[in-house]
Amino acid sequence: MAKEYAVDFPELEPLGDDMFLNAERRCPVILLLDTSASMADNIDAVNDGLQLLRNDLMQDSLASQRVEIALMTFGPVRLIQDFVTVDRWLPPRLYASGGTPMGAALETALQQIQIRKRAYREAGISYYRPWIWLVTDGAPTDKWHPAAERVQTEVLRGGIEMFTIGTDNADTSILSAISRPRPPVRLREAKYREMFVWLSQSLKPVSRAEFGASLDLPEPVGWGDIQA
Amino acid sequence: MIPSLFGSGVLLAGDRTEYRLGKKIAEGGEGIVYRVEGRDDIVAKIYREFDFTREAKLRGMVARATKRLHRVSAWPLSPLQGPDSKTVGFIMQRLESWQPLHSVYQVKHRLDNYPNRTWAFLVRASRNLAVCVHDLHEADLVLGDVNESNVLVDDRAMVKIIDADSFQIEIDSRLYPCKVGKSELLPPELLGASFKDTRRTQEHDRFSLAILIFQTLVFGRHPFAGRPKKDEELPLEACIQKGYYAYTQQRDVPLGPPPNIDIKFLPEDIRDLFERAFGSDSARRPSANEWFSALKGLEDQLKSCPENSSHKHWMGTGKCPWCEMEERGSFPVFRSSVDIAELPEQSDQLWKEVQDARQNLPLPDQFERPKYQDFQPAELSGPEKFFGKTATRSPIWFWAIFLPMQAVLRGQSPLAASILVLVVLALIPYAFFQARNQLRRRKLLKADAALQKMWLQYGADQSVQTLNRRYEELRDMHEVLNGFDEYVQQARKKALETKYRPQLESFLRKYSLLAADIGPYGREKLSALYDSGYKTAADIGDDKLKFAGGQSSEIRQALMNWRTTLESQFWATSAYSLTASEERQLLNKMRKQALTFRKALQEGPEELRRLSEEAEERRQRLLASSKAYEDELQQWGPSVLAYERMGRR
Ligand SMILES: Nc1ncnc2c1ncn2[C@@H]1O[C@H](COP(=O)(O)OP(=O)(O)OP(=O)(O)O)[C@@H](O)[C@H]1O
Repeated sequence: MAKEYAVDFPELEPLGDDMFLNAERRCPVILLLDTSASMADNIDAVNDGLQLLRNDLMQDSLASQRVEIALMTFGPVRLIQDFVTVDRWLPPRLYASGGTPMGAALETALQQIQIRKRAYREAGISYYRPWIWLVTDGAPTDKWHPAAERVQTEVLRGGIEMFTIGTDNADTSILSAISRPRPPVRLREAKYREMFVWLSQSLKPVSRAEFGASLDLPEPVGWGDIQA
Repeated sequence: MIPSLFGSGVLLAGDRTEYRLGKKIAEGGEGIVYRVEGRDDIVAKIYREFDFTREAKLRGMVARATKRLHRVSAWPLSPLQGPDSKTVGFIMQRLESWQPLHSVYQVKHRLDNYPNRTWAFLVRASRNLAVCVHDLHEADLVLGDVNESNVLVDDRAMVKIIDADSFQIEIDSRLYPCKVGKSELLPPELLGASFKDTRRTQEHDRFSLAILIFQTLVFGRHPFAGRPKKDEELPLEACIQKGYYAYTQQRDVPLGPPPNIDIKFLPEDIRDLFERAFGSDSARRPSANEWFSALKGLEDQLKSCPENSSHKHWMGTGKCPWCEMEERGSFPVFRSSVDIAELPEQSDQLWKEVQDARQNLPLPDQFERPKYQDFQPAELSGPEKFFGKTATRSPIWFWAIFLPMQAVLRGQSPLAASILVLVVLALIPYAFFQARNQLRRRKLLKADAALQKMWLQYGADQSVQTLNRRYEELRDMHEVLNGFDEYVQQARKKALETKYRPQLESFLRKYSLLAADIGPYGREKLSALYDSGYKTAADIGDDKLKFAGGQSSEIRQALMNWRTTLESQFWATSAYSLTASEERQLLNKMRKQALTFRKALQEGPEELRRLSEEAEERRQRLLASSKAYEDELQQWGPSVLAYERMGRR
C-alpha cells in the first residue's frame, strides 16, 4: 500500500502520570473523521459537535475519567490528537481538505489502538473494548478491502466496536462491509451535532450499571437512519 | 430510553402529603433524581419506565424502615404516585453534597478537590462502608448492585448507600430481585448470568465490597487489573472470572501489580482478607463485619510520617510507604504538608537604617571633575581684544595688504608704501598673541586630559561602584523579605515547571499542529508549518517560532495562544505538585536565603559606611593628586576660554 499517510507521534507514551493519577478503567474511542475537501461546508458542525461531545460527557464525572478520545482525520491520514481522557480534553479544531483514503485511515486507527492498549497494560489499567467511530461523506479513494478485512477480524474477535456513519454520498455497501454485523447509519442533513450528543449518551453507560457485556445502544433517533 | 413523563413542576402524591418536583439533580440508568420544591431535606427519584412490581416493593420497604436502615442508606421514605395512581417513583433523604466513592479514591480527583485528605480518611471511609453493608445484611437484604457510584461519602468519611430501591428484598415471602449489576464488581459466579433468574446472595455482595475496599485503600486500583506478565490482552471480566487477583501471593496468575504499587503497606491480616475475598472459595469471602474489625484494627496502628504529616500510614512498614511511592513515581500521592517556615520578619526597620546610613554618607557622586568649560572667561586687555577681534575678520587684512600693495606696485604713492609697512608691522603683535594662546591652550588640554583620566580611574574603582551597587542589592533584599510569600511561590512555580516539563511536553505532543485552533487563518498555513517540522503543540514556543520564517506575527501570536490554552488545560489540576521532600528542600533554600538577606541588611549600615570611607579615602587621594592639574586649569582656562569665545563671535 502506498505510504501516503504519516503518523508523526511517538510510538509509546512515557509511562506515568495519567494512569497513576487516574486508575479508572478506560474506554478508548477513536473518532475517524473524513475531512476531505467535500466536507468544507460541514466542518463547523463537526467542530461544534466535538465541543458538545466533551461538554456532555463532562456532566458525568466517572465517564469523563474513563472515556479517552483520540482524533484521526483522513485526507491525508493524520493522528490529529492522541488519546486524552475527557476530563483533560480540549477538542481541537478541524479543517477540511484532501482526498478520502479510508483504507489507510482504518489501518492506522487499528495500529493506534494497539499502541494505546499496550500502554494501558504497561500501567496495569484495565479497559473496555475500544471504539472506532468512522464518519465519511464519500467513497474511499484507496484500496480499502485489506483494511476492511482486518477490521472484520478484530470485530469478530471482540477486539473493537466498529461504527460507521455515512452521509448521502457515502457508499453504504462499503461501510457495511467494514462495520458488519453492526449496520452503518446514514446521517441526516448534516446533523453532526446531534450525532455527537448521541455518541456521548452511548458512552455514558461506562459509568453505570450494565446489564451485560453486550452493548445495548439506543436508536439514532433524530440524526440518522440505520441502513439494514 | 423513554423519557419519563414526569418532570420538574409536576405534583405527585406521597403517602401523607403531595410533593412538587423541582430541579433535576442527576440521572441514573433507571431513574432521574429531582429536588422537591420547598424541601431541603429530601429528593425524589422518578423512574424512566413503569414497572408494576415497584409499588409493592416500595411499600414493603417503607414499612420495614428502621433507624439503622435510614442511617446507612437512602431508604425510601414514601412512594410517589402519578395522577392515575401508578407508582412512578419515591421520596428519599437528600444527599447532594455527598460524593461518590470513586471521587474519593481516584488520586487526581482527591488531590484536586480534597487536598487535605489523608490515607486515614480512606481507611475510615472503607470501615464505614463495611458498617453500611453489615447493617443492610443484618436486615436480611442483599445490595446486589454495589458499585463506586452508589456509595456516597461525606466530608467526615461517613458513608451511605443510594439506589436502595434496587436492593434485593423479601417482603411477605415474596422475593423482589435486584435486576442490575456492574460487571467489573460482580463475582465470577454471576458474570454472564441473567439477573432475572438469579437469586443474589450476601456472598455476592461480599465480593463487590472487597473490590470497593481495595480500590479505596489502593489508590483506585482494581484488584483484578494488573500488568500482564506476557504482552497479552486480559480483559477485566475474564480476569475476575478466572480469579486472576493481580496481587495474590498464594497463586500463580498471569498478571502482576501495576508499576509502583506494592500493597505491603497493608497489614497482613488485611492482605489476607483480600486473598480470601478474591480466592476461588466463595464461602470464605470475608463478611462485612470482619472487614469492619480489621479496618478498625488498622486505624489503631496508623502513624504520621515525620517527613510529612499528611502521610498517615500503617506503622508496620519500615519506611513511610507514601514517601517511597512519591520518590519512585515522582508524583505526590498526598498533599505535602510541610510546616511552612515562619515567614521572615518584616525588614522595614532594618531597611530604614540602611537608608539613613546612606543619606548621611558623603556620596561620591556629589563632587565632579572640574571642567574649564565651566569657568568664567577672562577679561582681555585692550590690544589683545583689538588684535584678536580683527584677526577673526580676515577680509580686512586682505584688503589692508592688497590695496596698498597694488598702489605700490603701480608706483603710485609713497603714502601707500608707508601704509603697507604699518600694516605689516601690526601683524607682529597679532602673531604674538595667537602663538601665546596656542601655547596656553595646549597646556590646558594636557592638564584636562590628565584629570579626565584620573577621574575615569576613580570612577571605575570598586569602592565607589560597590557602594552604589550594594545599596541597590540591599534594597532588593528588603523587597524580597517583605514579599517573601510571593517570592517562595514564584520559586515553587519554577520548580514545578522544571519537574513536570516531560509530562507537559508529552501532553502537548498529543495535539497536532494541523488542528490548532488559530481562528480564521486556515489550514494552508498550518500545513506549511507542519511540513517544515512543527508537528505538535510541543514544537511551538516563542523562541522556536522565531525561526519559522515567513509567518506573520498574527499567526505566531495565535499559535502561542493555542499553546498557552493547552498548557493551562494541563496545569488545571493540583495533582502536579511538589513532594514533601522537594517542598522542604525548596523552603530550606528560601529560608537560608532569607537569613542571609537579613544578616546583610543588619550589617548594611556598617558596610555602607565602610565602603563610603574607602570611597572617601580614594577621593582624597584623587583630589590631592589632581591638585596640580586643577591649578593649571585655573591658570589657563579663563584666557583660553576668552579666546574661544572671541573666535566664535
Ligand atoms: N438521595 C440522593 N440525594 C442526592 N442525589 C442522589 C440521591 N440518590 C441518587 N442521587 C443522584 O442520582 C444519581 C442516580 O441515582 P441512582 O443510582 O439511584 O439511579 P439509578 O437510575 O438506579 O442508577 P443506576 O441504575 O445507573 O445505578 C446518583 O448517581 C446520584 O448522583
